[in-house]
Amino acid sequence: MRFFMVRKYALSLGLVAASAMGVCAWKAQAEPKEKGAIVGFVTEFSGNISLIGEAGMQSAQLAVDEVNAAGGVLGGKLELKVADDASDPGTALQVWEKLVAERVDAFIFRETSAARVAVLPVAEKANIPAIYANAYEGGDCRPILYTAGEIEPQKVAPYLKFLKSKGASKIFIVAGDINWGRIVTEMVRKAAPELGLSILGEEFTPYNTTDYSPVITKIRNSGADLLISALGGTPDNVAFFKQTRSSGLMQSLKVVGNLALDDTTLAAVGSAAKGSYMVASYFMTDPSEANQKYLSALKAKFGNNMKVPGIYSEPVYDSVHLYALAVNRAGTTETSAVLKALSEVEFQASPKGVIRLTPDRHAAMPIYIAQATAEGTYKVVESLGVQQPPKQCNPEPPFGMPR
Amino acid sequence: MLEHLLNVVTTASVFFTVSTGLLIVLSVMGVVNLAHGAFLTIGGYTAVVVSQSGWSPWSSLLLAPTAGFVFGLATELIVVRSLYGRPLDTILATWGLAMIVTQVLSDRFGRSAHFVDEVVSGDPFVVAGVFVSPYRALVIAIAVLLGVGLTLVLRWTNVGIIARAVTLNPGLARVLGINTGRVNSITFAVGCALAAFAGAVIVPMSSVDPNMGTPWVITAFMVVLAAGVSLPALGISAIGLAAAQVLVTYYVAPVIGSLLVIAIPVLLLRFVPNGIETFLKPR
Repeated sequence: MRFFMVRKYALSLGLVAASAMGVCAWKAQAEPKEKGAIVGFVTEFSGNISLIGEAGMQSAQLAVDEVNAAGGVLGGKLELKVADDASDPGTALQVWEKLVAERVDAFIFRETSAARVAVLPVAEKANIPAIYANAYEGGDCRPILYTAGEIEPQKVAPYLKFLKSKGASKIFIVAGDINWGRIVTEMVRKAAPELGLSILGEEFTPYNTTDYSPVITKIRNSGADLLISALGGTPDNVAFFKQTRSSGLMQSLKVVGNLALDDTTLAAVGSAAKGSYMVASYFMTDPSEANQKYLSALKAKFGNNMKVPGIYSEPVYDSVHLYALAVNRAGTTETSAVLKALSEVEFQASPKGVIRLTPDRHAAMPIYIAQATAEGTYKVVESLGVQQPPKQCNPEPPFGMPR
Repeated sequence: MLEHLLNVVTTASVFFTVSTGLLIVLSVMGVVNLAHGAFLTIGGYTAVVVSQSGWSPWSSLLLAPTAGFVFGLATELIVVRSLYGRPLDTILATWGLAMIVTQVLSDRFGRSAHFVDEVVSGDPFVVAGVFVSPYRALVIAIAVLLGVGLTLVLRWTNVGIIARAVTLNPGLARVLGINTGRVNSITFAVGCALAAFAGAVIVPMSSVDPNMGTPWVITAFMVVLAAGVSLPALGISAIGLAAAQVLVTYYVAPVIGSLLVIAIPVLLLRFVPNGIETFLKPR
């Protein structure tokens, strides 16, 4: 009889228990730590962006090892709680909420813009600092967010000027049908007229498009001589470039400029993208001493499993180090102190040189233009120098303190 | 114009190749094999293994259907056989099997994407002002050979007659001494082998990951649904849906093009419940 009573009320008991846990979790902004720190690291291990996510993970692990070898954070170890967002904003939201419930001190995340927009309200509500370890389109000024990669406004205009100098002026844009793709296309559309470039067509394709032949036909029929490709994720870039080359379109275009074909993705695309350009703050083939040190450290740690790093994964390395430096400077993991410290520290051992975040939440970055070789790597052909990001945010962020 | 035609024919060839396995299993056994996408993925991963081992890409076109046949036979004997006469349970069981296969492949190969080399690569040749890549020509040739080959087998061989008998009336076939159990096992295995073969054919143009089968099983399902139980109808259905996808993608938008592959069969079945084969049957 008693068993049946429990069963009858099991559902309601379960609901009460769950809501109690939920309430506790909701209030769970972590108490500031005295020793060590736990960082929630979210990236893609499955889905379209998985190749880049895996490269990001390796940079994270390397950076954490280095931080801990140098004394760690607040006299204790820096720990990562890793989660997979499956290249999907819905899943990303769930894993962020789980990590908040597990009381992480900060988030370092290498996710797509679509995921970023979905998940940051979670960190805002829980008042946890977040470092975006990615290059993106700019404009995200949340008080708890810093971005350790470059933003498109730092590179689009000078890049278009360079592409024009290669002898082409009629643009066709192929972009992923994702928020980053649409925003970046808008930027190109705005910048083109002043540079004397005309836009003859635009096409937005959803993730996991396997058949690009109608798009290729459209590009061919438009008469464009400059193709700008802004496709997100590795499978789409591989499919597009393989099909573009095998259809003869690649050879008939004067200039092909990529906006999202980083080293990691190019390694998978291979020789199909030969001759196309890319603009970024980091290329794996950069011969600088700082980069060589980074690459050999990755090779030493991961051996044959080393993934090719690129602009979408290298910022993870910088972000982990910047966070460690900021916490050690602030002397606490408390949010507003860490956010203030992040704008004051400088990471001098970045593969890009020196990285310093500013109160404008973004950083100045060296910008290079490179050309893809037949071996699936990039050769830097021009340096645009250090580019400051145009002002993105209000001058006096509240550093996490509610107004 | 010619380029549009080429694009439609290529896409139709892919649709056709991917759908034949599903059609054969459906027509002979009356079973909807929702594990079709999983077998496609198995074919894709066979190509990955071939690529990683450094063997000739052509061997994937032989190894993939072999793997598909073996696993298909095992599936039929263990899963499908016990569910005869229970179509809804079969759908559930094959879908569950698909999920298991996906997880096993994720375990073994990891969740991220893999890429394989093309079976034939090289510069495109120009035919009447249109660029044709060797790979595309191969895909079209494969689809044509598959269609012609299957039609010939069904019409002119004993195996074909037996398959058609079982399709038409399983009870009567059994009375006539045909071992329907064995026919079903072989049919299912062949259907899975065709799925795996299709997987190996399509992966060079994009990528391989554990979930690649799902969008394809939906496409195959739609093509088969629109066709009905008939191989020539499948060809027409493939061409029709491919034309819709390619032309609408070109003239309107890619998202709408892909949407039509699902919308058109649904609308068609509303008015023609047995699919395109209704138009092919002599009155």
